[in-house]
Amino acid sequence: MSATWVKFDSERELADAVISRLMLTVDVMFSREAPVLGRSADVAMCRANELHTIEFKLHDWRQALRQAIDHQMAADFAYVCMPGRRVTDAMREAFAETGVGLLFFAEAEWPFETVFEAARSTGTWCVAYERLKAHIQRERHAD
Amino acid sequence: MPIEGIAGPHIVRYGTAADQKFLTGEFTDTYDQLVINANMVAHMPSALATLISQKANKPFFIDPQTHAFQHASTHLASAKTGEIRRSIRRLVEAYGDPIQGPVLKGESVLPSDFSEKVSRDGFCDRVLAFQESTLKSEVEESSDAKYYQFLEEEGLAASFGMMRPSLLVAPYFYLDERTGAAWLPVNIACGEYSLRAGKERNLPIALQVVVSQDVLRSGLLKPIVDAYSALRPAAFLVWVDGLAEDEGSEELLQAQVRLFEQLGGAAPVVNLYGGYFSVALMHTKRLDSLVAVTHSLEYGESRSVVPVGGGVPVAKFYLPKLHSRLVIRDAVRAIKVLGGFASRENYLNTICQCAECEQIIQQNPETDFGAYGVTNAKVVRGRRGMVTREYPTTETKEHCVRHYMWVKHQEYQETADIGATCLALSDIGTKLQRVLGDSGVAHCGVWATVLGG
Repeated sequence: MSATWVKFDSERELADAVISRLMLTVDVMFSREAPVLGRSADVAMCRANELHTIEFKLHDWRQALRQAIDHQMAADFAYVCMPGRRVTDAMREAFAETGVGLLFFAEAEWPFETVFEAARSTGTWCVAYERLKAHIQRERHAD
Repeated sequence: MPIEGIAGPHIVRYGTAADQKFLTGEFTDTYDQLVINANMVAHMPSALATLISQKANKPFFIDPQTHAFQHASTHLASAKTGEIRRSIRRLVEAYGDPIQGPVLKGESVLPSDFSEKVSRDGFCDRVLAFQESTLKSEVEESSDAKYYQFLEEEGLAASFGMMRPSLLVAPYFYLDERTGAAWLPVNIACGEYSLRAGKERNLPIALQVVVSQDVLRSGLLKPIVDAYSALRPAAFLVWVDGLAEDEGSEELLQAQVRLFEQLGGAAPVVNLYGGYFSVALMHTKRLDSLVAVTHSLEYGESRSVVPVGGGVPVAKFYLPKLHSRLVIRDAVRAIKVLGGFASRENYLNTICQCAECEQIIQQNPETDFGAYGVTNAKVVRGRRGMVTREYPTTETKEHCVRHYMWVKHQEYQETADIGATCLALSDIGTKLQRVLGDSGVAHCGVWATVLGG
């Protein structure tokens, strides 16, 4: 894991950094602030015909986890993305228990470093899933 | 036993013009009585007269909302213009002094404004007259009067008499722990006079008791109960500020029950904002003196005295067994755990078989249930810049309200003993605590404890 982690002043700055890199990729369709059953996912993306959501947080990983759990209803995989930081035992347990994955921001072309892989969601609601998928496709066409 | 002025246990509060379609037609027989806020009567008397005389054909009474004038005047102003709202101005003009002077100057009304008996009695007369005759006059003086008369003669619509409320509510003011001692004598004086005036008007008089939650646990409660009980009105209409039964602690609900019990020693009690807990208090016979519970369409099982507005409107699904409204994602989680998505039959047996669900859930319950959560996404400015928010579609809101109204009808119809009710609450709480969290089901345990008494 990188010893010199990039610092961000806001979640928006972190999200912007990720988006600018995602825009360079060709195999990903994504949407920012995608609506998910009354909440919104900071980023929802479709890759290899699977839906992923990503919630960005600088510090409060517990709150991000709660939001990501809601995203599991609409996605195959739900992630939290943070700037690189020390991973505590509490984090390890909580992410493992919920099946939410943890990403750190990476400065490479693919902007994520996977800390914990997300488990495939078992709580997906087909209606929410299809709506999110349609939203991402609409956003792409809007571009 | 019939209660004077109260048509039955199920009272619905009319909120806005949009509510009409859920109070008429197929829903007409699902409730017993309407309560209408005075500002709505002032705002749209003609439409309300039509609703009552022709569409709903229901007994009604009017909440005079006199407490509105004791709060900061900003609560009476339009958010757009900053001016006092037109419906409120009409109400103020109808009620006259001692509220008209201060309110039209942008000031709040104080207890001392009611110290003169002549002025106070005149105010009471005007508040009662507003309730008694505004809608009736609207019909009699309208260009449609002959049409109404024809309908009445032909037996096609209720008589002009139907335009009379089934009871009158004495002017009242909100009592909290800090200011209640000063307002209590005003309320009692208004109540005493109104009770005498009601006899002349040949209409029962109800006293509206509006208290803060802190009053329930304070030394002020006894003087309030004693003073009101001595008046022996036709009914007490009780409103505890902001008390949401599905969020209240055991101590708070116990205190609410004690208030009902104590006032109930002098007259029947109506809970003006209540949910299933109050309904269960009634039909388990836990509380004989509680004779009716009022709610409005979806949102009105609790209400703060000073309106708290704003927020994104969220369509919620009332989960019948939990007796609580859930955001769609929680409703889906709960229904999955309860096995409701396995088949249509399972859904109808385990979740709900109201007319709305019967119609919506056809082939695939999991997919069909989406009708309760369709939204339009809009990009709006949020705290962190532009964000996408979801707003329920009109159809979604209507599905949710219709489902809610049918389920409420069932709840009021049911009869159950305390043991069975408590067992059902405990059971659903246990089943759903993992998916909704402790706080999402805590009311089940609290209600069971308080009902079990």
